[in-house]
Amino acid sequence: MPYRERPYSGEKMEQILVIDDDVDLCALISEYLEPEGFDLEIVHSGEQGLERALSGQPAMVVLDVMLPGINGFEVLRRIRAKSQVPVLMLTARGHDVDRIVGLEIGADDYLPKPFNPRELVARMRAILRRTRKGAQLVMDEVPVESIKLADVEVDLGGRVVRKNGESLFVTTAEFEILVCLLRSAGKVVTREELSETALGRRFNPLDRSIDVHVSNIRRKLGNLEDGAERIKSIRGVGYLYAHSATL
Amino acid sequence: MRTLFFKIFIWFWLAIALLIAASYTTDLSVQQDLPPQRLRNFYGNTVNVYAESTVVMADSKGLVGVQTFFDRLKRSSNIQAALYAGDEKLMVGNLSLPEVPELLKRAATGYQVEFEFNEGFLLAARRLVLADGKLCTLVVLIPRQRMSLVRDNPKIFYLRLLAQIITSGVICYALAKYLTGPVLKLREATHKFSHGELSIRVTPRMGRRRDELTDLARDFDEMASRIETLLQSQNRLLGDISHELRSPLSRLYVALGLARRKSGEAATEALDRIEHETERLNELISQVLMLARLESYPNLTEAKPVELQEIVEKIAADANFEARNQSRSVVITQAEACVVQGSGELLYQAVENVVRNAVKYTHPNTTVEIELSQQVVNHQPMAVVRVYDYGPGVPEAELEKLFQPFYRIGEGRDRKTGGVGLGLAIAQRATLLHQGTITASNCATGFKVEIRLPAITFSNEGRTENEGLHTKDFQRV
Repeated sequence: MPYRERPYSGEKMEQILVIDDDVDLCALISEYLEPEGFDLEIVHSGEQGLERALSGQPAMVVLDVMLPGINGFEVLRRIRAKSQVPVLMLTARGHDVDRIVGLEIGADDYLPKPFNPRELVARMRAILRRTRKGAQLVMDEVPVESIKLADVEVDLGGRVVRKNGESLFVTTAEFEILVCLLRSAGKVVTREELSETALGRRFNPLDRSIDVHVSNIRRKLGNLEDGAERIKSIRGVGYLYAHSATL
Repeated sequence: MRTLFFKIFIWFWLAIALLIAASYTTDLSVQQDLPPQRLRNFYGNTVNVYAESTVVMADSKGLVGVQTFFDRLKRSSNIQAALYAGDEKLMVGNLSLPEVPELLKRAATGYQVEFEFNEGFLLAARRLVLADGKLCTLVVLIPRQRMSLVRDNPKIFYLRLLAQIITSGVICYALAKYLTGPVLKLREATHKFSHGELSIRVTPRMGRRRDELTDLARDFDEMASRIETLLQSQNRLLGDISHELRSPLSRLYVALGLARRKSGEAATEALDRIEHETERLNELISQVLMLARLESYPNLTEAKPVELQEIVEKIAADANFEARNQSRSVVITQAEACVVQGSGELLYQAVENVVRNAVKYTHPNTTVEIELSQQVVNHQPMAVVRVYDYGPGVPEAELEKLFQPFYRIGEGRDRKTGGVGLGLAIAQRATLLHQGTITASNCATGFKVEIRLPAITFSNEGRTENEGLHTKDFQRV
């Protein structure tokens, strides 16, 4: 259970790593975020950012897509090769491909630039809340629930997903969505519900985040043992986790 | 069969087949004979043989024997012969033709065969010496052979005709293939190019061929690489502009957030105004960039099935929420399930811009109505979005210009309604990109904008609980 040991303390400020080459913007962001209770570390290049992200200190990484040298996607790819630290991508507006690519590589969420700083804080808090949830349960010594359905087991405390006993990496958003779907296995969960419970924001039909997350989960978990689709999309409504009893 | 290949093939073959037919027809009707020189060679030997036979017959059986020989010749070959003495006196046989005396005179000059050609026959004469040393002249009348393959050997005639037609067919096929092959490759390339595959080139696919068509291919390649470079640099420029313009905006937003936190109540109104203007600027940049992108790309790069109904419902809800502040409202009067192949983001923009435009111009305390319906035109299902407003409408003469970028009707009025004048231009470009049309017209109660898009499939009834489970027709999103 390597994830249970993550230290958590309500008083300790969360360390956030910001990787963005816009020096002025970084200064403004740190001025804005520090009173909100974040401990910011700022770097301006991908190489440096990668090194810091893998140091194990930051609780979350805010990563800009447009970076000199190795770009944001590459940084994310290399982070994901070694670490599960939550990542919030800052993308250029109007580049929907960027957003989807980011989520596919394993970003937890994205925010198009230019953004309202209030929105940035909200997104960061949502991600941190998701990562903390499990740790909180462990800290409070609440009996930790785990959901098991056929070959898949989700440990809510350790925030671990196992398939046939083998743990898989999923991002915070993917974890929440999978939990949502598993809890209502055999029933349709609407995109609205998934957006609100898993991502903590209102559903927007233009936002393909949910769909990208679900397709990542599908890819990671594969089909059911009998070859049937594990998560079915229900056109215009949402998704359904196939439950053997309902088949 | 309207292909160039087929046309070239058929026309050339037809021409050659007609040529063959024409040559046989003239052959049959004119019935040309062999040329005289060849007749001389051919019949010269024959006459020599007859002459030797006559000498032998006369020697062994006398003149009676010669008469028998002549009779047999007449019976078997329809050749008539006569033997004249040196003084042109008839000895055996009978040939009373006016040409004979003249021919005898010519034959008297030596031992060669002399000929006289006539319409229906040829006369040949040759001197000979009988065994008793007597000089005589043999005259032979040979009916002229009509040379005709059809009559003489129909099997060979038709075989030859068939061989000629087939050979010419094969050659025409090869010719047509050779001529149209590069044209087809060029056409395929231009088609792909126009559908956004900008890196396509034709010259490598032309092989070692060198002619006007490969020149054309080379010119196409040059043109294609120029366009590709232009589009790439334009795209890069757009990306740079977008980044450079937005970086200050990003900083502005965060600075604004800081200012809000530090300032008191008194500054709120001014800061709100700054935020509003910043948003407008951001919107303007987005729209200008979007328009530029829409115009530089001839086709959608990635198209997915898009639920129009879902989009329309979301737009109506949002627009209604905002319109209520201005004592206007937005309702959906009809919404049928329609699925369009395309970009959800662009379609959303297109419809949203039209709806926002309607909200802007409809009179206070009126309702903007949105109608989404399905139609089948020439077996092509169409999704039709109609947006009605109860506003003043637009002068007929200016309807067309509505879709031009930055076009405004009545400069003064627009200032207060806000907007940058790009909404409808973007809506039009986005619709065109989906092979759709957008039209604006005045109606009795106000103004109407209609967007028609080719739909991929839809059910006849509205959405039901179970319908959602029929996912197999749709690509997974």
